[in-house]
Amino acid sequence: MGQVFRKLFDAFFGNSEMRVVMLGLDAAGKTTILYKLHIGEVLSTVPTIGFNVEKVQYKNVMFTVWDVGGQEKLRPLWRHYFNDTNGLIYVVDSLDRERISKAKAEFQTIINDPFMLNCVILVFANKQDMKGAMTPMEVCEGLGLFELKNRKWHIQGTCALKGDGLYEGLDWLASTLKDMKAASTSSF
Amino acid sequence: MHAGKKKLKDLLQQSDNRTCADCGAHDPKWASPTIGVFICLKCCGGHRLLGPNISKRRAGVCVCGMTRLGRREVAGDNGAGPRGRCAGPSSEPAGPRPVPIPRSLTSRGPLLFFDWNCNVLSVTIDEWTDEEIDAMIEVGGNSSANAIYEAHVPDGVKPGPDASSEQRTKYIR
Repeated sequence: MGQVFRKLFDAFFGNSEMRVVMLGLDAAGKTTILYKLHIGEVLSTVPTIGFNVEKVQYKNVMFTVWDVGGQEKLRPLWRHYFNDTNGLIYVVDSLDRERISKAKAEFQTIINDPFMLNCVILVFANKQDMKGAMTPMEVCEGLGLFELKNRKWHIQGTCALKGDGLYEGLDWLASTLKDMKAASTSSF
Repeated sequence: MHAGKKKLKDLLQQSDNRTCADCGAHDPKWASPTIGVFICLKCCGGHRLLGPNISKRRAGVCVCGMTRLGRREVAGDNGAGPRGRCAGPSSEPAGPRPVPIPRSLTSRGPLLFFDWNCNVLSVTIDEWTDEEIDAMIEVGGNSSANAIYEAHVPDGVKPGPDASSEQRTKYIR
Protein backbone atom coordinates (compact mmCIF):
# COMPACT_ATOMS: atom_id res chain seq x y z
CA MET A 1 0.00 0.00 0.00
CA GLY A 2 2.79 2.37 0.98
CA GLN A 3 4.48 1.57 -2.30
CA VAL A 4 1.41 2.64 -4.24
CA PHE A 5 1.19 5.97 -2.41
CA ARG A 6 4.88 6.49 -2.95
CA LYS A 7 4.49 5.92 -6.67
CA LEU A 8 1.53 8.30 -6.88
CA PHE A 9 3.45 10.88 -4.88
CA ASP A 10 6.49 10.56 -7.11
CA ALA A 11 4.38 10.75 -10.25
CA PHE A 12 2.66 13.86 -8.94
CA PHE A 13 5.86 15.68 -8.08
CA GLY A 14 7.75 14.41 -11.11
CA ASN A 15 10.29 12.38 -9.16
CA SER A 16 11.89 9.67 -11.15
CA GLU A 17 14.68 7.15 -11.05
CA MET A 18 17.39 6.47 -13.53
CA ARG A 19 19.83 3.63 -13.71
CA VAL A 20 23.16 4.69 -15.11
CA VAL A 21 26.29 2.71 -15.82
CA MET A 22 29.58 4.58 -15.86
CA LEU A 23 32.32 3.07 -17.99
CA GLY A 24 35.63 4.05 -19.52
CA LEU A 25 39.25 2.94 -19.72
CA ASP A 26 41.23 2.51 -16.52
CA ALA A 27 42.36 5.69 -14.78
CA ALA A 28 39.82 7.85 -16.63
CA GLY A 29 38.36 9.10 -13.34
CA LYS A 30 35.14 7.10 -12.97
CA THR A 31 35.43 6.41 -9.26
CA THR A 32 36.55 9.96 -8.54
CA ILE A 33 33.49 11.26 -10.40
CA LEU A 34 31.16 8.87 -8.59
CA TYR A 35 32.28 9.99 -5.13
CA LYS A 36 32.49 13.64 -6.11
CA LEU A 37 28.81 13.36 -7.04
CA HIS A 38 27.85 11.22 -4.08
CA ILE A 39 29.56 12.99 -1.20
CA GLY A 40 30.96 16.08 -2.88
CA GLU A 41 34.54 15.23 -2.01
CA VAL A 42 37.57 14.03 -3.87
CA LEU A 43 38.60 10.71 -2.41
CA SER A 44 41.94 9.19 -3.14
CA THR A 45 41.04 6.13 -5.10
CA VAL A 46 42.71 2.90 -6.05
CA PRO A 47 41.98 0.97 -9.25
CA THR A 48 38.49 -0.48 -9.04
CA ILE A 49 38.38 -4.24 -9.13
CA GLY A 50 34.73 -5.05 -9.43
CA PHE A 51 32.37 -2.11 -9.11
CA ASN A 52 31.10 0.69 -6.91
CA VAL A 53 27.45 1.67 -6.84
CA GLU A 54 25.91 4.75 -5.25
CA LYS A 55 22.66 6.65 -5.42
CA VAL A 56 22.92 10.28 -6.38
CA GLN A 57 19.91 12.54 -5.96
CA TYR A 58 19.96 15.48 -8.30
CA LYS A 59 16.97 17.76 -8.69
CA ASN A 60 14.09 15.32 -8.72
CA VAL A 61 15.91 12.42 -10.26
CA MET A 62 17.44 9.61 -8.26
CA PHE A 63 20.39 8.30 -10.23
CA THR A 64 21.71 4.87 -9.40
CA VAL A 65 25.23 5.04 -10.73
CA TRP A 66 27.26 1.90 -11.32
CA ASP A 67 30.97 2.52 -11.63
CA VAL A 68 32.68 -0.52 -13.09
CA GLY A 69 36.44 -1.17 -13.13
CA GLY A 70 38.13 -0.31 -16.41
CA GLN A 71 41.24 -2.50 -16.46
CA GLU A 72 41.67 -4.35 -19.72
CA LYS A 73 40.63 -7.77 -18.50
CA LEU A 74 37.64 -6.38 -16.61
CA ARG A 75 36.13 -4.84 -19.74
CA PRO A 76 34.51 -8.06 -21.01
CA LEU A 77 32.49 -7.99 -17.76
CA TRP A 78 30.93 -4.62 -18.57
CA ARG A 79 28.12 -6.17 -20.59
CA HIS A 80 26.72 -7.79 -17.45
CA TYR A 81 25.77 -4.32 -16.27
CA PHE A 82 23.89 -3.37 -19.45
CA ASN A 83 20.51 -4.92 -18.75
CA ASP A 84 17.84 -2.44 -17.71
CA THR A 85 20.14 0.57 -18.01
CA ASN A 86 18.71 3.96 -18.99
CA GLY A 87 21.92 5.82 -19.46
CA LEU A 88 25.61 5.40 -20.16
CA ILE A 89 28.21 7.77 -18.79
CA TYR A 90 31.39 7.18 -20.74
CA VAL A 91 34.41 8.77 -19.11
CA VAL A 92 37.43 9.65 -21.22
CA ASP A 93 40.81 10.79 -19.96
CA SER A 94 41.24 13.81 -22.25
CA LEU A 95 44.97 13.76 -21.69
CA ASP A 96 45.40 10.23 -22.95
CA ARG A 97 45.82 10.81 -26.67
CA GLU A 98 47.64 7.55 -27.05
CA ARG A 99 44.65 5.50 -26.00
CA ILE A 100 41.80 7.46 -27.59
CA SER A 101 41.47 4.85 -30.33
CA LYS A 102 41.26 2.17 -27.65
CA ALA A 103 38.62 4.26 -25.90
CA LYS A 104 36.71 4.50 -29.17
CA ALA A 105 36.78 0.75 -29.79
CA GLU A 106 35.43 0.00 -26.29
CA PHE A 107 32.83 2.76 -26.62
CA GLN A 108 31.52 1.44 -29.94
CA THR A 109 31.28 -2.08 -28.52
CA ILE A 110 29.19 -0.83 -25.61
CA ILE A 111 26.74 1.30 -27.53
CA ASN A 112 26.15 -1.35 -30.18
CA ASP A 113 25.28 -3.98 -27.61
CA PRO A 114 21.60 -5.02 -28.02
CA PHE A 115 20.88 -4.08 -24.39
CA MET A 116 22.27 -0.58 -24.88
CA LEU A 117 20.52 0.46 -28.08
CA ASN A 118 17.95 2.52 -26.22
CA CYS A 119 20.15 4.14 -23.63
CA VAL A 120 21.15 7.77 -23.74
CA ILE A 121 24.85 8.53 -23.94
CA LEU A 122 26.67 11.10 -21.87
CA VAL A 123 30.39 11.45 -22.50
CA PHE A 124 32.56 13.11 -19.88
CA ALA A 125 35.76 14.47 -21.43
CA ASN A 126 37.52 14.44 -18.07
CA LYS A 127 40.72 16.09 -16.85
CA GLN A 128 40.02 19.32 -18.72
CA ASP A 129 42.12 21.15 -16.13
CA MET A 130 45.27 19.53 -17.47
CA LYS A 131 47.46 21.37 -19.90
CA GLY A 132 47.48 19.63 -23.26
CA ALA A 133 44.14 17.88 -22.74
CA MET A 134 42.02 17.17 -25.80
CA THR A 135 39.05 19.51 -26.09
CA PRO A 136 35.56 17.99 -25.84
CA MET A 137 35.36 18.48 -29.61
CA GLU A 138 38.52 16.43 -30.15
CA VAL A 139 37.19 13.71 -27.86
CA CYS A 140 33.96 13.75 -29.87
CA GLU A 141 35.89 13.11 -33.03
CA GLY A 142 38.10 10.55 -31.31
CA LEU A 143 35.10 8.47 -30.22
CA GLY A 144 33.25 8.83 -33.51
CA LEU A 145 30.23 10.51 -31.89
CA PHE A 146 29.38 12.49 -35.01
CA GLU A 147 28.78 9.31 -36.94
CA LEU A 148 26.13 8.07 -34.51
CA LYS A 149 22.67 7.73 -35.99
CA ASN A 150 19.45 7.83 -34.03
CA ARG A 151 21.14 8.11 -30.67
CA LYS A 152 20.75 10.73 -28.01
CA TRP A 153 24.18 11.81 -26.92
CA HIS A 154 25.89 14.70 -25.24
CA ILE A 155 29.49 15.53 -24.48
CA GLN A 156 30.58 17.49 -21.46
CA GLY A 157 34.06 18.69 -20.57
CA THR A 158 34.69 17.94 -16.90
CA CYS A 159 37.23 18.27 -14.15
CA ALA A 160 36.29 15.69 -11.53
CA LEU A 161 38.69 17.13 -8.96
CA LYS A 162 36.91 20.48 -8.97
CA GLY A 163 33.54 19.05 -9.87
CA ASP A 164 33.30 21.20 -13.00
CA GLY A 165 30.80 19.97 -15.56
CA LEU A 166 29.52 16.99 -13.59
CA TYR A 167 26.15 18.47 -12.68
CA GLU A 168 25.73 19.98 -16.13
CA GLY A 169 26.03 16.41 -17.39
CA LEU A 170 23.43 15.12 -14.93
CA ASP A 171 21.18 18.01 -15.96
CA TRP A 172 21.29 16.80 -19.53
CA LEU A 173 20.64 13.21 -18.45
CA ALA A 174 17.68 14.25 -16.32
CA SER A 175 16.02 16.42 -18.94
CA THR A 176 16.62 13.90 -21.71
CA LEU A 177 15.11 11.16 -19.59
CA LYS A 178 12.12 13.34 -18.85
CA ASP A 179 11.59 14.10 -22.54
CA MET A 180 11.80 10.43 -23.41
CA LYS A 181 9.30 9.50 -20.72
CA ALA A 182 6.92 12.19 -21.88
CA ALA A 183 7.25 10.95 -25.46
CA SER A 184 6.61 7.35 -24.47
CA THR A 185 3.52 8.14 -22.34
CA SER A 186 2.02 10.43 -24.97
CA SER A 187 2.33 7.66 -27.52
CA PHE A 188 -0.15 5.48 -25.60
CA MET B 1 51.58 -18.66 -21.33
CA HIS B 2 52.79 -15.68 -23.30
CA ALA B 3 56.58 -15.56 -23.08
CA GLY B 4 56.66 -11.93 -21.90
CA LYS B 5 54.07 -12.58 -19.24
CA LYS B 6 56.15 -15.49 -18.00
CA LYS B 7 59.20 -13.26 -17.70
CA LEU B 8 57.12 -10.77 -15.75
CA LYS B 9 55.85 -13.44 -13.37
CA ASP B 10 59.40 -14.67 -12.86
CA LEU B 11 60.51 -11.17 -12.02
CA LEU B 12 57.65 -10.87 -9.56
CA GLN B 13 58.84 -14.03 -7.82
CA GLN B 14 62.24 -12.43 -7.12
CA SER B 15 62.58 -12.01 -3.34
CA ASP B 16 62.77 -8.18 -3.35
CA ASN B 17 59.58 -8.05 -5.40
CA ARG B 18 57.53 -10.02 -2.91
CA THR B 19 56.83 -6.85 -0.97
CA CYS B 20 55.49 -3.48 -2.12
CA ALA B 21 58.29 -1.09 -3.11
CA ASP B 22 56.65 1.77 -1.24
CA CYS B 23 55.00 0.44 1.89
CA GLY B 24 56.42 -3.06 2.24
CA ALA B 25 53.04 -4.81 2.15
CA HIS B 26 53.23 -8.45 1.21
CA ASP B 27 52.50 -9.82 -2.28
CA PRO B 28 52.15 -6.78 -4.56
CA LYS B 29 50.03 -7.39 -7.63
CA TRP B 30 50.52 -4.07 -9.43
CA ALA B 31 53.46 -2.46 -11.11
CA SER B 32 54.67 0.78 -12.57
CA PRO B 33 56.49 0.04 -15.81
CA THR B 34 57.67 3.64 -15.84
CA ILE B 35 59.63 3.32 -12.65
CA GLY B 36 60.05 -0.42 -12.72
CA VAL B 37 58.64 -1.32 -9.32
CA PHE B 38 56.06 -3.74 -8.02
CA ILE B 39 53.59 -2.13 -5.65
CA CYS B 40 50.42 -2.96 -3.75
CA LEU B 41 46.92 -1.85 -4.70
CA LYS B 42 46.86 0.90 -2.07
CA CYS B 43 50.12 2.48 -3.22
CA CYS B 44 49.00 2.04 -6.79
CA GLY B 45 46.45 4.81 -6.19
CA GLY B 46 49.23 7.24 -5.35
CA HIS B 47 51.25 6.33 -8.40
CA ARG B 48 48.21 6.71 -10.58
CA LEU B 49 47.67 10.22 -9.24
CA LEU B 50 51.03 11.25 -10.62
CA GLY B 51 49.28 11.27 -13.97
CA PRO B 52 48.66 8.05 -15.80
CA ASN B 53 49.31 9.05 -19.33
CA ILE B 54 51.21 11.26 -21.75
CA SER B 55 54.14 9.02 -21.26
CA LYS B 56 54.19 5.68 -19.63
CA ARG B 57 57.48 5.18 -21.30
CA ARG B 58 60.97 5.37 -20.18
CA ALA B 59 62.51 8.71 -20.82
CA GLY B 60 65.97 10.13 -21.11
CA VAL B 61 67.69 13.02 -19.51
CA CYS B 62 68.78 16.11 -21.31
CA VAL B 63 72.45 16.98 -21.62
CA CYS B 64 71.89 19.81 -19.19
CA GLY B 65 71.56 17.03 -16.65
CA MET B 66 68.50 18.52 -15.07
CA THR B 67 65.53 18.30 -17.33
CA ARG B 68 63.75 15.14 -18.05
CA LEU B 69 62.90 14.40 -21.63
CA GLY B 70 60.26 12.02 -22.90
CA ARG B 71 61.06 9.41 -25.48
CA ARG B 72 59.74 11.51 -28.33
CA GLU B 73 61.99 14.38 -27.35
CA VAL B 74 64.92 12.03 -27.12
CA ALA B 75 64.09 10.92 -30.64
CA GLY B 76 64.10 14.55 -31.72
CA ASP B 77 60.36 15.13 -32.03
CA ASN B 78 59.59 18.08 -29.89
CA GLY B 79 55.89 18.12 -30.61
CA ALA B 80 55.21 15.64 -27.85
CA GLY B 81 53.37 17.60 -25.29
CA PRO B 82 53.21 20.20 -22.62
CA ARG B 83 56.11 18.93 -20.59
CA GLY B 84 59.55 17.68 -21.15
CA ARG B 85 60.96 20.26 -23.47
CA CYS B 86 64.31 21.36 -22.23
CA ALA B 87 65.00 25.02 -21.75
CA GLY B 88 67.95 24.44 -19.48
CA PRO B 89 68.04 23.66 -15.79
CA SER B 90 65.89 26.65 -14.86
CA SER B 91 62.89 25.06 -16.54
CA GLU B 92 62.83 22.34 -13.90
CA PRO B 93 59.23 21.79 -12.84
CA ALA B 94 58.34 21.81 -9.18
CA GLY B 95 58.38 18.39 -7.65
CA PRO B 96 60.88 15.75 -6.66
CA ARG B 97 64.31 16.10 -8.18
CA PRO B 98 64.72 13.60 -10.98
CA VAL B 99 67.42 11.10 -10.32
CA PRO B 100 69.25 9.51 -13.22
CA ILE B 101 69.70 5.79 -12.93
CA PRO B 102 73.40 4.87 -13.06
CA ARG B 103 74.59 3.53 -16.35
CA SER B 104 75.59 0.28 -14.67
CA LEU B 105 71.92 -0.49 -14.17
CA THR B 106 71.00 0.08 -17.74
CA SER B 107 71.98 -2.16 -20.56
CA ARG B 108 71.43 0.20 -23.43
CA GLY B 109 70.38 3.58 -24.65
CA PRO B 110 70.52 6.89 -22.89
CA LEU B 111 70.37 7.14 -19.13
CA LEU B 112 67.23 5.53 -17.88
CA PHE B 113 65.22 8.08 -16.15
CA PHE B 114 61.89 8.31 -14.55
CA ASP B 115 59.08 10.38 -15.82
CA TRP B 116 56.86 12.62 -13.75
CA ASN B 117 54.01 10.86 -15.33
CA CYS B 118 53.43 7.41 -14.21
CA ASN B 119 51.25 4.57 -15.29
CA VAL B 120 50.24 1.55 -13.29
CA LEU B 121 49.31 -1.85 -14.58
CA SER B 122 48.05 -4.93 -12.84
CA VAL B 123 50.15 -8.04 -13.21
CA THR B 124 46.97 -10.07 -13.50
CA ILE B 125 44.19 -7.95 -15.02
CA ASP B 126 46.02 -5.79 -17.53
CA GLU B 127 47.57 -6.52 -20.88
CA TRP B 128 51.26 -5.72 -21.01
CA THR B 129 53.20 -4.76 -24.08
CA ASP B 130 56.61 -6.34 -24.59
CA GLU B 131 58.07 -2.88 -24.21
CA GLU B 132 56.59 -2.50 -20.74
CA ILE B 133 57.77 -5.92 -19.67
CA ASP B 134 61.27 -5.17 -20.97
CA ALA B 135 61.26 -1.92 -19.02
CA MET B 136 60.46 -3.82 -15.82
CA ILE B 137 63.18 -6.37 -16.48
CA GLU B 138 65.69 -3.69 -17.32
CA VAL B 139 65.23 -1.98 -14.00
CA GLY B 140 65.62 -5.33 -12.33
CA GLY B 141 63.07 -5.12 -9.55
CA ASN B 142 62.24 -3.25 -6.39
CA SER B 143 65.71 -3.33 -4.80
CA SER B 144 67.51 -1.80 -7.75
CA ALA B 145 64.80 0.79 -8.32
CA ASN B 146 64.64 1.81 -4.68
CA ALA B 147 68.43 2.02 -4.54
CA ILE B 148 67.97 4.99 -6.84
CA TYR B 149 64.71 6.58 -5.87
CA GLU B 150 65.14 6.23 -2.14
CA ALA B 151 68.85 7.00 -2.02
CA HIS B 152 68.21 10.32 -0.31
CA VAL B 153 65.12 9.44 1.70
CA PRO B 154 65.71 9.93 5.43
CA ASP B 155 64.83 7.11 7.81
CA GLY B 156 61.33 7.01 9.19
CA VAL B 157 59.72 8.81 6.26
CA LYS B 158 58.68 5.73 4.36
CA PRO B 159 55.12 4.60 5.02
CA GLY B 160 54.33 1.12 6.30
CA PRO B 161 51.63 -1.30 5.17
CA ASP B 162 49.11 0.33 7.52
CA ALA B 163 49.70 3.88 6.31
CA SER B 164 46.74 5.99 5.22
CA SER B 165 46.21 6.84 1.59
CA GLU B 166 47.24 10.46 2.28
CA GLN B 167 50.55 9.34 3.79
CA ARG B 168 51.18 7.06 0.85
CA THR B 169 50.34 9.66 -1.77
CA LYS B 170 52.54 12.25 -0.09
CA TYR B 171 55.45 9.86 0.05
CA ILE B 172 55.05 8.64 -3.52
CA ARG B 173 55.02 12.20 -4.76
